[in-house]
Amino acid sequence: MNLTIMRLALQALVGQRRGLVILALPVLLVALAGVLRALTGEPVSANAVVVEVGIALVVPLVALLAANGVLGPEIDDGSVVYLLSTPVSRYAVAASKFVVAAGVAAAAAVTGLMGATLAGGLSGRWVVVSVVVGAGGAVLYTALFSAIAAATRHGMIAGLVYVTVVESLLGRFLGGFRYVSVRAFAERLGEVAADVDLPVADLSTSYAVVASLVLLGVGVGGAGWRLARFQLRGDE
Amino acid sequence: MTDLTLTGVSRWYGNVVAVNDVTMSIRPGVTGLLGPNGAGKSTLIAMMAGFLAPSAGDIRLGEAPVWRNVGAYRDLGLVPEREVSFSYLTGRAFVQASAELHRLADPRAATARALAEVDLVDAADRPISTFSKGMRQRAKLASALVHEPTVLLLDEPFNGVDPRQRMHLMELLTRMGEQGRTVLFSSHILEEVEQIARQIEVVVSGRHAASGDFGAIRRLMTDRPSHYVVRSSDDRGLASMLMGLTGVRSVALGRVGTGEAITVEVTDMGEFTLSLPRLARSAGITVRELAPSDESLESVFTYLVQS
Amino acid sequence: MSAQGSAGVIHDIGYRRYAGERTSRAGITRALLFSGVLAVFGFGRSGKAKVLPFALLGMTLVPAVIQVGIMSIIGLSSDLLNYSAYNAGSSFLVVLFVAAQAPVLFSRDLRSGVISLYLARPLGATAFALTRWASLVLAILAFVLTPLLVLFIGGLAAGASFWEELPRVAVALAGAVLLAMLVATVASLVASWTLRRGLAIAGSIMVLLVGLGVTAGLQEVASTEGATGLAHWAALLSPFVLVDSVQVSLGDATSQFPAPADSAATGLLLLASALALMLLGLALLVRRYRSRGA
Repeated sequence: MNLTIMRLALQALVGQRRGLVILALPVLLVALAGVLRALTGEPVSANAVVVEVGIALVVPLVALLAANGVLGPEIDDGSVVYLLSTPVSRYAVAASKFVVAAGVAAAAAVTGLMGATLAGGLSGRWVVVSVVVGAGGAVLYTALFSAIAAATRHGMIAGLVYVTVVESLLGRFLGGFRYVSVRAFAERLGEVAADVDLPVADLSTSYAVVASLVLLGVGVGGAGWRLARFQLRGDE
Repeated sequence: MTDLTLTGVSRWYGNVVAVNDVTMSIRPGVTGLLGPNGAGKSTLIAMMAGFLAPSAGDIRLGEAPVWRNVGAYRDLGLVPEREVSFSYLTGRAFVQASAELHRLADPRAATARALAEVDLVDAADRPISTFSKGMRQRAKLASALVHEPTVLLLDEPFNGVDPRQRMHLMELLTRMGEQGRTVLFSSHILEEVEQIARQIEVVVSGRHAASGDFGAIRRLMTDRPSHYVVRSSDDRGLASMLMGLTGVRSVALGRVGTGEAITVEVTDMGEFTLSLPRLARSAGITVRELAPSDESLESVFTYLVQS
Repeated sequence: MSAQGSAGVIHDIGYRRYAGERTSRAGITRALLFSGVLAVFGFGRSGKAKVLPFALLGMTLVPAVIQVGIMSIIGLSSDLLNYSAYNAGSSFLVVLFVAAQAPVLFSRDLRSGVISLYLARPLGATAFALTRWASLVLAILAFVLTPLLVLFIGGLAAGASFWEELPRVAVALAGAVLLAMLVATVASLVASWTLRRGLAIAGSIMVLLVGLGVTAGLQEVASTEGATGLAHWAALLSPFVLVDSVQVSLGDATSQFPAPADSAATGLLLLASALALMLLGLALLVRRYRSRGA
């Protein structure tokens, strides 16, 4: 870990427009819960708001923005060379950037889910779900998207295709996709922690835990591997 | 740890060879890496700085390889051509971040010293987005200098910098060379190189074309016999007349490319170029083509010298 | 050497000013329009740039091809062909396409500052911005109309009656045009505001896809709670829901969403409001080009 890299990454994430977009997502979620509650006068449907909008869309999107914000642009325009021409291990650079991205994503996700839970008048168990699935999901998604961003220049699009096509579309019809669905891992962890019934296909808890750990390793390791082999292309 | 040694270095991208079997050694003092645009200068510098793997060959800083060795950056400073995109940082914050990443004992003092060295103290607390091109260049230089590297690599440092700041940068590089550091900078403009570098390395189309003292290379170039191909209405007649010139060493008749032609080896280019048209006119011979046949190095050097 | 007195001279070495015919303003606009449409599909760019638009186009065609295939093999009735619901069904593909390709037209030249060069030409900021928008509209139309045409032509080939299908397909085509214009406005605003490609993609996705989910949810709740007015007007939050609502109320299509407008008057009012919002969006877009290009 390197505090300087972390500070710069944080500045890059929250100091610019990207920060506004990351902030907008949880705000939107809380507003939705608030409006629905005001309309009906009774607690909102946890499944519709917290799960289908919050966990399915807001959590992956904030993680996508955060992961691509700390890695993508700098590698793309080559300015990461200013951080890399120093005797800091490339894996430490990747890990520091990942920690910041995961932290920002988790903070935004938990704020959004918990805000929606409270604004929607849901029970205390959903607060636990918000914290566990919000933080866990955000960290895992960040790991996944960091690995994707390290592998391709189109990390943003590839990540979106994963969320919309693999998780939402294929995951809905083909149960086998639960084994590669970050959402399924996170929801499984949330279920275990909060004793609520999330619409998860059967997935053993140990599988979810192991898969999560593997994903973390692959995400951070992949990003470090990419930086260790970073090549500066001339403009020629 | 002050010598940068390249041994048989090549780099290719698919079928395109960007750098072809380059062997050179960069020693303390200022060295100019000279070559036309697209000659492979940036590729070479990227490889020297450990940001590109050579496809073949070996690059060492002292004894240690530079590729995949982050320890090398303790002794190496790089000023890339790429713009700084941390435009939301102030100049000082940018340089200080570099000082911290080098784990210097007193980053604040090192930053102040580097900023003073490049004469950027007044503007240091403004965001980089408000900097002019020359100021950005100096900020990049300060960040590369902050850990007092023994080897400094600069990719096209004078590009787009106004004349006054260019003078300033040149003085700075000269001073660094005098301090015993190894300074290598690339440029496609001879005049820049001539002013501050005693040692030059010329690269042309990815090949190491010449190296050494600038004046010595220039003398070698002009004294070397050069070859020309002449096509005319009466090759044999013209050849016999050319042989009479003292500046011509040999003349050969034969097939060149698609047709018959004269190949002339010239030692005194001035005499040859003046005499050829005169002789041809007096004998009523029409010269159809006059072309240098070994154009590689000469043409490039002529281009560099004249631009 | 001899002319010592004269300060300097520019020799005529044969450079000539272009004296031929110049394209009219309409010609410039047309060229810009079509180069924009082609750029969205990756023509005139690298091979890699063509992969994504055509991959998405291929994916959006899959259901159409399957439906036509089923029709012709099993011989089901042509009622199976639901033209007007097609693009709401594949909405995430449309959104991905627009979000990913809008930055091609709206981010790069604004971000790099090249835009001021373009705007120094006869066209000007307003016309330039609107032409860019029109390029995006045409590109989206190509994307959403292709599957509809496959359905229509495939249906006819499988024995559907031309005159029975025509009105239904016409409603869907009109809906597609409206959808393309609205989605293009949203995406172009986001892309021209964020400038960075990745950020533009995320922004468009957020507005269009999350907006779609939120709108559907809102309508669901509002209509079960009896707040029909709110349920109808929530359609303005998402182009897909709005187009569906307009198609249902004015074109007698079947709805995919909980609360389509129930009368032609409401439908017309919705349509007018949507168009007004679109004009507002275009005004903002033009303003963005003015301020960046100055």
